[in-house]
Amino acid sequence: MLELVDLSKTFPDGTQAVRGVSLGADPGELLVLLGPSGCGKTTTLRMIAGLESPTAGCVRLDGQEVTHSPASERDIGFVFQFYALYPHMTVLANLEFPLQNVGLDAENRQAAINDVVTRLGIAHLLDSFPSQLSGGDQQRIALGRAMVRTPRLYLMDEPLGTIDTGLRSDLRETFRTQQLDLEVTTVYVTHDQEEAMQLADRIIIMRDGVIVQEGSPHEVYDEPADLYVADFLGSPGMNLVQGRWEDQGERAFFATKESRISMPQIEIENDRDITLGVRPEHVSVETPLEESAAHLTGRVKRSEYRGDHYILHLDTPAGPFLVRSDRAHTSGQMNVRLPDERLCLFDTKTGRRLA
Amino acid sequence: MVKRFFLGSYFFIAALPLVWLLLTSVKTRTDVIDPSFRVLPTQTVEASPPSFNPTTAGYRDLNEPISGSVHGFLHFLWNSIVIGLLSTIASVALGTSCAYGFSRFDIPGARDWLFFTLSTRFLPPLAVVVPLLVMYRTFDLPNTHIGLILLYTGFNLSLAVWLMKGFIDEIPKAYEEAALVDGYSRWQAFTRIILPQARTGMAVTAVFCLISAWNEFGFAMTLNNARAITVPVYFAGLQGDIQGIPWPRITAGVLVFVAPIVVFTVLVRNHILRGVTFGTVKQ
Repeated sequence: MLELVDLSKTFPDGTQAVRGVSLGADPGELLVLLGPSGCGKTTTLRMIAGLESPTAGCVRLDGQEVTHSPASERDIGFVFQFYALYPHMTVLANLEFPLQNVGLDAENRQAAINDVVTRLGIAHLLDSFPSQLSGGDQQRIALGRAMVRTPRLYLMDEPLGTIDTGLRSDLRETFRTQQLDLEVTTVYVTHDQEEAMQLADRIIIMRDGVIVQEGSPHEVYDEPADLYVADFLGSPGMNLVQGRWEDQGERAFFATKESRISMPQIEIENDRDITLGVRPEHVSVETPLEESAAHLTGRVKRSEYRGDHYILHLDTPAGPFLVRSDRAHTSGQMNVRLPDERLCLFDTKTGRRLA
Repeated sequence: MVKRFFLGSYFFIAALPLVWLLLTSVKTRTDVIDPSFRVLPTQTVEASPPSFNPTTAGYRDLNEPISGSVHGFLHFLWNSIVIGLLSTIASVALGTSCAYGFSRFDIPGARDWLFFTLSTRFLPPLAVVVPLLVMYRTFDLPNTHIGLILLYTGFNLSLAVWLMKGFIDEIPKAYEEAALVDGYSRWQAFTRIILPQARTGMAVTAVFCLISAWNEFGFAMTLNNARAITVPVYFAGLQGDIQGIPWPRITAGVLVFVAPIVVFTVLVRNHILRGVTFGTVKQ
C-alpha cells in the first residue's frame, strides 16, 4: 500500500537525516517508526507526506509513484506534534476545512463531520476556538481533522508527545480503536517505546537515518538485531555484559575479567569479543542451583519498587546487573540463573547479534 | 501621582500644536496675525484679548481655489488619498508576499537580499532626487499619480518586507503544512491560513507606510508642478500668496488632512498595540 524505496534526505547544510530507508506497509497496518530524536523518523514521515522532498529514492502509494507530487495531491491525513489547529477558526471550521475543496455538498460534509464528532466524542467542543482547549482536546480535534476526509493514509508525528500521561493512554486507546475500525494504513512516529509496543502491528527502529530493525513488537523485543535495540527497548533495557568467548571443545564459556559463565554450544570462534544480553525479567533468582546451568552470582545493592514488582540492582563480577523480582531483597549474595533460550549474544565490535 | 503628572505633561505637549491649529482655524485672518494673545472664543460683539470671535470661514472657504489656481483643497486631498492608499496597499501586498517567501523558502543568498532591501533605506532619499527626476522624465512619470505611487511603494517596501518577515516568522510552519496535507495549494494555504494570522502585522505595516506616504513632501514637490500635487505641497505653495498667507484656511485644511490618519490609527490600534509588544513574551 505504502512503499518506500531507498529513500534519502540530505539537508542543504549537509546533514544526512535519512539514508536509504526502504519499507512497506500493508493495507490497514499500523507501522511505528521508533527512535531517539534526530534519528530521521520525522523526516521520513514528512517525505511520505510530501512536506519534505527526498534527495534520492522514491515513495509509492497504492503502486503509484508520488515522490515529487505535492502534499495536497497525496490524500493523506497528518497529525502534528503541536496540533496545528487553525487558530482563527472554530473547532467546527477546523473539521470542515479539509472537506471544503474535495467537491462534497453541504449535506455530505455535515455527515462526515457528524461521524468523526461521534467517534471522538467532541460534540461539546465544536464552537470553541483551539486556544480555549486543553492540549488533549486539541489533539483530539486534530485527529478528527485528519480522519474527516477518510484519507488513504494517516501520518502521525509524535501526536501524544506533549499530552499529560493519564490523558495520553486515553487518547492512544481512542486512536487505536478508530484506526482498527476504519482500517486506514498508518505510519506513527514516536520516541516512546511503550507507546510503540502498545500500538504497533510492526515496529521500525531507526537510528542515525537508517533502519536498524523492523518486526512485530515481539520480535524486536525478544530478538533485538543489535546492541542498540537491546538497550533502547525495555524499561529498564537489556542487561549487557562485555566479555570473551571461550570455546573449549566440549564446553563453551562466556568469560569476563572475573568470572566464567558456562554457555550452550554455539558456533562462535574462540576468543572473540562478545557482549552477553539478557532481559531483567528473563532471569530468575534461584538457590540452590545446578552447577552446570549458566548463572551469575552477585550482591544486592538496592531494590527499586515498581508497584507490581521490584527491580534489583546487583553487583556481580561481570558488572552491574538488573533483575526483575516479585519480592524485595535487601542485601546479601544471590544466584541468578541465565536461561539458555533467553540469552542474546552480540559481537562487541559491530554490535550485531550472533545468537 | 508622579505617573499622572508625567502623562499630563506629555499630553499637554503633544496636544498643544493640535489645539493651536484648531484655534487658528476658527479665527479670522486679522485675529490670527494680531500680536496679542487671543485664545478664548467668545460671542461678544467686539472681543478684546484674550478673547476672539470664532468663525467657520476657514472651513467654508477651504475648497475655494486660491489666487489663480484652478483647483481647491479637495482636489489635492483626493490626490493625497489616491497616492497614499494605493502606495500603502502596494507596499503591504508586496511586502507580505516577499516576507513570506523569505520566511518559508530556501532562497539562495536570502540574507544578502534582505540586507540589500534594508540598505535601500541607508541613503537619505533626497540625495537621489536629481537622478530620479531625470529617470522619471525619460518615462514621462513626473506629474502623474502612478509616479508618486511607485516612488512611495519603493521607499516603503524595505520597511514592509522587514516588518512582515518578523511577523510571518512567528507563525508556525505547521499551520500551512496542515493546510497542504488537507488538500490545499501553497497559494490557498497562504491566503486562507497565513494572511488571517498576519493581519496584525499587516495593520502595523500599513499604518507606517500610510503615514510616510501621506506626509512626504520633498519628492512630491520636486516631481510635480501640475497634476498630482498632494496636500503638503499645496499648502507650501500658498506661502507666496498675494493676499498674504491664508492661515485660517491652511490650519483648517491641516486638521482635515490629519483626520484620516488619526481615524485609521484608531481603527487598527488594537493590532498596533499587539504589534509593538509582539514577541516580547514567550508563549
